Amino acid sequence: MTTKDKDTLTEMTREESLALIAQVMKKTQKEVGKSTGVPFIIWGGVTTFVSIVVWFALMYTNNRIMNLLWLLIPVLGSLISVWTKRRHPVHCSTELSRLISRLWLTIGSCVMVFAFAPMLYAQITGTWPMHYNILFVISLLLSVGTTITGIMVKENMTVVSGGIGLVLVLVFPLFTYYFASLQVLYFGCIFFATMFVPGVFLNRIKASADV
Amino acid sequence: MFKQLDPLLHSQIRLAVMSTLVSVESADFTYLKEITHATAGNLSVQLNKLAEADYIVINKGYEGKRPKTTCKITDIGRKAFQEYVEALKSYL
Repeated sequence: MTTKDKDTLTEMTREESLALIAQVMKKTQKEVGKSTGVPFIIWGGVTTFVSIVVWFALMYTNNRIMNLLWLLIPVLGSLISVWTKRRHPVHCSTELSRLISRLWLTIGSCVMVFAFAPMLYAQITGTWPMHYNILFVISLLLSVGTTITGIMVKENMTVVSGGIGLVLVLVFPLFTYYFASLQVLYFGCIFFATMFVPGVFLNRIKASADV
Repeated sequence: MFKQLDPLLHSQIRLAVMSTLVSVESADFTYLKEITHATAGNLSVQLNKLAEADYIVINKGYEGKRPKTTCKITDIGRKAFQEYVEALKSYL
């Protein structure tokens, strides 16, 4: 083998090395992006579905006890999350993914607190707090969470979805004023736009990486 | 003057492992196997070589009842990887 042949082989190997590094790093970034999208799809999808179920149940039974169906969200969401984690475990952790987990743990905790707060107020005052709209508060928290997540992962579609959610939340009181019977469906729409859609966009990054 | 390439990193599997670990805090064995297209045995050997050189740290634990091995890059490994990339670029 001549020196020139050896140099040519060495040169190609170096180029291949750089190409391998770039390819692997790109794939890994997308793997991390995919893991961010799945919880959005699960919780956005479950909440939208349960919203539709609750709306139908309230409309056709006119019984407030049907509001207990909202508990399907944590039950179904948790079951699907556990099942998904077993089928598609998360392989990489980054500081960013840990921060996003903590962000949503905080938001989830706030949602639970604000969802049960009216019951506490009712216990204290003896009447249900009529001007407290749980759906408005939860929608606001989720929209802010989605916007922050989008900024953290630098995914513009997620930021836009969060922004759309905030606009929808801003209109919520007006919508409730004119179409009170549809506010549960409106709530479902906010979750569809603010969580499910950005989740699909985040997840499609994985699909494009697999091609 | 061309810089010498680190022979420990100048291997497809080990370079793919280091490229992955430099991007994340940690990665598990399953993912590293998927991304390197290596067999479990071969990947184990390569990971041990990197660990012996203090380029990575291997943690063997459990996730529930299942064993789970995760790897993390060390500061020495990160520096070695950066020097390797600089050496590659000096040739091109």
